Amino acid sequence: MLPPSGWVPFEWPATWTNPSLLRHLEGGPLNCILLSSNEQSAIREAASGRFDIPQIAWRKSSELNWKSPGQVAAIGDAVWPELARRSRESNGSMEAGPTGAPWLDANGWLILMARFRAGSVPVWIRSESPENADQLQLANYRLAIAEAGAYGATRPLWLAPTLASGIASGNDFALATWAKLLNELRWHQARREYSAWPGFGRLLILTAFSGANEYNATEVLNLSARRNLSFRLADPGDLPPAQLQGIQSVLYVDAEPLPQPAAAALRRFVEAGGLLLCMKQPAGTLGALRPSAELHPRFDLFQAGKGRVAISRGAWDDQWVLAQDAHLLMSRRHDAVRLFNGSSLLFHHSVSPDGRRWLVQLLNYSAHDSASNVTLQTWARLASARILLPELAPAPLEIHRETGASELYIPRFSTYAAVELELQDHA
Amino acid sequence: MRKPCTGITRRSLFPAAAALPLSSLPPFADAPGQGARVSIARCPDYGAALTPALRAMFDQLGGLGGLVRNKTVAIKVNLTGSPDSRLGNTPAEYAQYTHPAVIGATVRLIGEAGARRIRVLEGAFSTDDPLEEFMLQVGWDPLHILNAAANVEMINTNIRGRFKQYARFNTPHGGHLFPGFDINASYEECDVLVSLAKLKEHGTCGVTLSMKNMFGATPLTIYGDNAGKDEPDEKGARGGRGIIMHAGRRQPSRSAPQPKQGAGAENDRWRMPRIVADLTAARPIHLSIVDGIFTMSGGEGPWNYGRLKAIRPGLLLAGLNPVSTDAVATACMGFDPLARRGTPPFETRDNCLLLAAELGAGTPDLKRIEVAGLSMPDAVFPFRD
Repeated sequence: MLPPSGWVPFEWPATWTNPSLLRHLEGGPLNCILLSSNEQSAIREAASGRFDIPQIAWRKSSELNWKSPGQVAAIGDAVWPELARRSRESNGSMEAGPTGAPWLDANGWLILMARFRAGSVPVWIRSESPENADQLQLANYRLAIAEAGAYGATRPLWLAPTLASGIASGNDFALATWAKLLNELRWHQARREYSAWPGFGRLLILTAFSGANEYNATEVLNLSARRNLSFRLADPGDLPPAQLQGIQSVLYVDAEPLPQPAAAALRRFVEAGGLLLCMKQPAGTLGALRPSAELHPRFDLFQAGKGRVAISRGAWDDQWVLAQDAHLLMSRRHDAVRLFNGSSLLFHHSVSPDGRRWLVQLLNYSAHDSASNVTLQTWARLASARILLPELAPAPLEIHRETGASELYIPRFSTYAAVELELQDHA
Repeated sequence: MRKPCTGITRRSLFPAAAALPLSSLPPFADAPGQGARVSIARCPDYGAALTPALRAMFDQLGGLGGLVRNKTVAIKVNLTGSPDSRLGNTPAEYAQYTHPAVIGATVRLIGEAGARRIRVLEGAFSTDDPLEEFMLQVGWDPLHILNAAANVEMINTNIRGRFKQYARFNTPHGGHLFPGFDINASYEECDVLVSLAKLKEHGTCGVTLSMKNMFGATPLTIYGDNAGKDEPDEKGARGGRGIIMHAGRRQPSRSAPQPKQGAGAENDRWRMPRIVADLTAARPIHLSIVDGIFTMSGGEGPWNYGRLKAIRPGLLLAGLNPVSTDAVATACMGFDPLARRGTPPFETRDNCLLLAAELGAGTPDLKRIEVAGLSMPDAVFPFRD
């Protein structure tokens, strides 16, 4: 009935055996039902012709056939997004991740990788039911919906057993929660065009995700995302010049030598002033390099033209350190946006196709505390800014001019806020 | 992992104090008189009035030339806490951090006075990142500081860095708690040490000024939550200084001087004022500067609980003795610098000014301090109602 890109899916609860419960979906944004077993044939029969009922083959991301993923690239081993539960349960204090900030279970990096590898095929994600399923709050569901939407994927709406039975039995609180979830979905559906905006990043991570390189590559993506280090992705076998536009630094993750066209493109990139980080073996394909006087604990640094090549002395066995090195060698000077009071926040930064607007989507992974007193700072010159919050009309944001920077004070929000920035100067 | 300090020594600054055992020292008796002058200036903001105000203050102290000409000058700034953390939406430099304009103006004036090399130092929060990158994370452009004079560099002193070993500074008379400290050798490889602090209250010390600023000089590799057990852990520069320094729940790396054990040693409001006093005496500060133009009241950072507020005292202070400078600053905040435990701002903690005076580091007695520039009554900006 609809192409897969138009599906808004719902994981039909196993306990909903009465087809009359389809009434909860009527007139709402959900247009696609995922049935968990053949025993739900009565539902299938009643829903047929009114809803799409595809069979989805969920796979671990490491087992997906990215060249032929099917109607949708369905990743079944995403995490339930939240401030890591173990973080909150140890003596009431947060468990720090490698950043020193609390660890966040997040899927943004996974979705960006999947979208890159799956091409035009829609990306779906789902997670196993969380251990604390019956304690989930509205904010947890909202975050799950918003996270997938922000990064351009789809997460089928799933209900914890308690909520599902509450809705089925007509419990007022459960029904109110259901209505809010549908409104949230509707709001994000109305803004799906944002997911077509390309991601913004001044770091290009170059990898074929092949063999032994896949672990390194995926971990670097995960840990770069936790640093709120925006990146773009490219395949060393397909590196047209346009991929390097606006890029300050390239991290070539793989151990294999670079294909010759990529090596030539990167040589030109470095000579024009860029930074390339790579291991020893691929560096051999770059041609002659001049040793630099710059010292680094883990890299030997070289110069070529106006730019630099950083060659790792050892294997990359600590991807957090690698992400940190990539960030600092490029320099935080190239961070396009900075967040303050956002330790439980991640953001996805994208740019309109005409380059005139930025979209910064903020996700709060703490379901227990609203994000408050968050400041977004950029060194870009802004003409205007507005905020988009679910269920509210877009509102202008005052631009506070500080020395060399513009700052936006983000109103308190629960799980999701999007800030649209109109740039004065754009590429 | 260490070498003894061979640069300017505590003895050369406090000769009388160094000759006596701690218990026999009368309070303030040995404070250096010429160091007790403190300059106060009104400065409304970080704009055009800032550099002239600082210049006038330094002139009131006898001029910078004699202090810094052809010297290596280290400037310890106060960038306490996470660079992402703000008091509400207030930028860190308007609340808890030394403002970069004050750092830049100080660098400029020290450069103009003929310094051979200037190093900006800080043990930046929970990281071994380069200090420049830390500043970028705050949203500052470090080039404004690096370009303010010739031969300016920045060092994150949480780690050993480029130096072969840490420098050891022994505390006079064995100190109250720490008989000495191993810190980054940039604190030894300098002729002049400037503490460039912020005018603030403090959760465990009552006030944090040019003396308490030096707490950030203790490297995380030795005194941090992930410090090495036997030797400094150069990969352990993460976390804070809560476990070893505040709480005394474990000892610093065994290679460094170990703190004394005994009554009170597990209470951070007993420990911290003593640590501050010991540091002040162990590594003398030659020039104290306190940025009180914009700041916060109620604590030293947004992480404190209670009545935190961004405020604008519009004050700058400078002096050649840290105890005297901090005493005047404390008075400017509306407190008695000679107050004992139980009196604000030392309600539940000991007064580090008195503890430092006991070590012969200077006098906090306002009667013995000459104030230049703005008069004390005109300078008082009560931090509490």
